[in-house]
This record gives sequence, C-alpha cells and structure tokens, in this order.
Amino acid sequence: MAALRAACYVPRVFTPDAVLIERGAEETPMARRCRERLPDVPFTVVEDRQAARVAIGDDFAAAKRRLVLAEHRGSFLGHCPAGTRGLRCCNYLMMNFATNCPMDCGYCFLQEYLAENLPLTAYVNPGAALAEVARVLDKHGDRRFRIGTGELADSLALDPLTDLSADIVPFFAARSNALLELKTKTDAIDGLVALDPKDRVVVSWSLAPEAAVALAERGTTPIAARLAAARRVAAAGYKVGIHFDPMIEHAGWEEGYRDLVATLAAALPAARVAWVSMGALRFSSGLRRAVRARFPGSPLLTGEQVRSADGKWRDFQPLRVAMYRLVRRYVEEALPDVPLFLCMETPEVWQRVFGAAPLGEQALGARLAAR
Amino acid sequence: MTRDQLLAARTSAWTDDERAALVAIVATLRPSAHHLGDALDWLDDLAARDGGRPASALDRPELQAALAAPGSAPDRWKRWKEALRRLRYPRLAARERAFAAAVRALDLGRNVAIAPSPAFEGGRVTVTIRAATVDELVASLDRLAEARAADDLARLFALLDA
Repeated sequence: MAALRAACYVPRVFTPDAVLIERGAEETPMARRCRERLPDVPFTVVEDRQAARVAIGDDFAAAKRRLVLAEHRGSFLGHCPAGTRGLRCCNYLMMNFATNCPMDCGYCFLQEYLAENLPLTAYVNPGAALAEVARVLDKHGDRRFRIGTGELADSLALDPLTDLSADIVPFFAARSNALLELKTKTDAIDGLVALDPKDRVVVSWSLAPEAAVALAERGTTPIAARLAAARRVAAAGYKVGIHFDPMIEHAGWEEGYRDLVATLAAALPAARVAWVSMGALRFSSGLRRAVRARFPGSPLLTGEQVRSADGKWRDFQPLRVAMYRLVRRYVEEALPDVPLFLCMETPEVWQRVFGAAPLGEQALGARLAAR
Repeated sequence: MTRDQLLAARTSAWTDDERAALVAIVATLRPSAHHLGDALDWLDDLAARDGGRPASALDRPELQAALAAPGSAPDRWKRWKEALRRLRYPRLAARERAFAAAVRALDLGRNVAIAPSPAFEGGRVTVTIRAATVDELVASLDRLAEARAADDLARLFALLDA
C-alpha cells in the first residue's frame, strides 16, 4: 500500500482556494510572488487580520484552504513549549513565519491552539523576524542556538509560494552560532536545493509507518516521497533531522517502525543525519475534545492514554517506554552514533529508556547544536 | 452542561433503544455530569476500537453485574464505572491487577501498604507503614527485608517497567 501511494504521488504545490491580503501588504515581495505563482486564484484585499478572520469563518478544515498574507506585529521568537516544567527539554527556540498549515493531521495541537485564530497566515515581513534573530545571536555570540520554524506551521508547505527559504537559509548560512531547523511533512524542497546552507541548516521530517500515516494524517506527503526529498537535500549539503513524533501505537507498529528505520538508513548515510527524536502521541484535554468533535471515532483516541505529569494524555508509561526502547534499538543498530533524544518526556522516562537522564537542557541543546 | 443536556448531546446518533438503556442506567446510578462524560468518552472509544456501537458495551456482563449489585447508587456507579474503565483500558487494568497480586504475594501484613503511582505514571511506588510501637515498625521492616531477600520486591518493581 505504501508503495502504491508513493507510486501514485505527484509532488504538489499547495494551491489555496483564495488569498486574502491585509491592506498595506499588497506590494510586498511575498505578495507579488504569490500572485505570480497563483495566477488562477482570486486575491482579495482585506482591512486587517481580524477582517480576514471574519471572512474565513470558524471551520478549521475550510480555513486551511484560504491563505492570508499579513504583517506580523510583535515578537517572532520564543521558547519551544517542550520546556514545560518537569519535562526534559533540549533548549530550542521557535521562530514563527506563519500560522496554521494546509495539511490536517488528526493529532495536531493546532486544532486546539488555533481554535480562535484559524486563518492559514504567512507573514509578509520575514526581514523583521531575521532582524530580531540577528539581535539575539549578536548579543550572545558565545552561545550556540538551535532555532526552528515548524511550531505553528509546517516549515516548507508554503515555500513554493512564498520563497521564504531564499531569505532564511542564506541568513543562517552566514551565522556561526546558530543552527536552523526546518520541519516538514512535505517534499517541497526545490527552493532549498538551489541554496548553500554551509552546514547551518537541518531539514527535518516527521516520519511514521505508512499505516500510522493513513490513520492520522490528511494531505501529507507519502513517506517514500519524504525520504526521497531527504536524500535530495542531503546531497545538496543539508543535514537531515528525523522526528518519530508522534509515535503512534497501531496494529503492527513494531514491524512498521523496524521497516521504516531500515528504509531511512538505506536512504541516508548516518553522517548526514543530525539527530533523531522520539515523542509519544500526546493530547491536552482540550485537544482531545477538539479531536472528538472533528473526528468522531478517531482511532487516535482509542489507545490506553492517561494523564501524565504535564497534564497531557499519553499511552501509560510502561507502554510508551516499551515503544521508545524498541525504536531506540532499531535506530542505534541502523544509524550508529546519531544523537537520539526524547521530546516532551520526564527525566524518569529518559532514565528508563536510556539508562540515564541527560545532564540538562543546556548540555543536550549544545550537543545537538554541535552536529 | 447538565447530565440531561450531556445525554441528549452525546447520544444524538444512538437509536431510541440504545438511549433508553443508558438513560435507565443513569436514572438508577445518578452519576454527575462529569462522571457521565467520562463514561460516554469511554463508550465512544470502545466503539471506535472494537468496531461496534457505543451502546454495545452496556450489555457486557461486567457492567450488568455492577448495575445489579447491592449497595448505594454512588457505590454501584463507582463499580460500574470501574468495570467500564477496565474494558476501556485492558492492559492498564491487567497491570494493576498483577501489581495488586504481587503486593498480596509479599504478605507484608496489614500495617504495610504498597501502591503504584496512578496509571503507573512516574514509575514510583508509595510504601506506607503504620505502626503504633517500635516493635510493630520493626516487624514490618523485617517482613520487607524478607521480601527483598526472596526477590519478591524485584518482581513487584518490574511491573513498573515496560
């Protein structure tokens, strides 16, 4: 089935049904590029983001079909929410160039997080974001930063329209104390391969066995195509990150992850893999309600999930520790010496999976930033 | 949302007979809306997992037995909900039973209690020793030492792991 999906798959550029441009942003480079690349899509000027919100309405899936181009006011940079008290984090910063995502994964936290702010929005002022990052990097020249753009949006899903990578990859390529991570579930890497990242950019894919993808993800790129894209960016000089996150227990998950890791190792040399992370399927209580409402009978909620230390619902600890241990074994056998870490887990779980908790977030972050 | 509003909202896709069966249980056991919401979630989850309808589980012997048991409505609701929880969380419930059996096998006496953290999250146990005298405390510690020597404690702690 995976082979069939991959064979049928044609690389796609997300084409929204409509584009709404905030007044004043009509002549920005990003808006001009979008108009050039979407000649058959209607463009409408709206007064502001609130007007766009009203125009788009409150249907989460429908909101993903219309793109808003607007200026971002306020800070672009923040700490990753995995730094919740009680969880071991990896000292990661997030930079938001967009919110929402054209894909629609059943486990996605945006279903809750953006419930009051649905529009799929690309910010037309990436220069302001990069100026903010430059100030931080210059002020702390002795520190090494890992900065990602994939928290509130897929890092690359809009890139064929916005060309954002042409702005941010050269910026990070010229910085010695920061590593940029672009996280995606697409194969929209044509813009990247023409650029020289100078080892300062990691392109990361979230991967799961195809059976889990079929259960949980709508509109994402098939795994084989994601891996083909990973191979292309690796050949173009990028490091590749892999996130087995969320790990979804499903019928045949052991074989599914075993085969996925084997396919991954065959596709990429270990030396090009910057890191591999593992994270359990997890839901806040609000997200569980949102998923129940949007996808009644979703198999994602039928696992033996209980409330864990941070209030999120995960498979009860012995179950997820068993998953982590098995996938850890697969990864260590197939990709020796590649750093492997857990996302949003407690020191107790780290201890059971690895035999030790990491020294601390600064040490973990420094180890990953040095890749 | 009141109990009746919750029932109406969450059983709109149920047949009349199915809804009547749940309404009878709710009328008998009188759960709070919060508890009823948990039960409705679990019935939906069971249906999604096992491929039946949400009301199918209401006929399960474990739930029927809890409903027919003697006792007050709150006590019977507690037993009914626990029976439903065990259907919803079979592997967690099996591990809880195994842990309870392992504690009983330690034969530590009535002054020593060992409990896992809820749902085994955190992987810790809480050991409670009650003693009115030094001799009672020493007796309990001796029994724990015997359990340790026999590796029974190691077997208990293994249940906290994967």
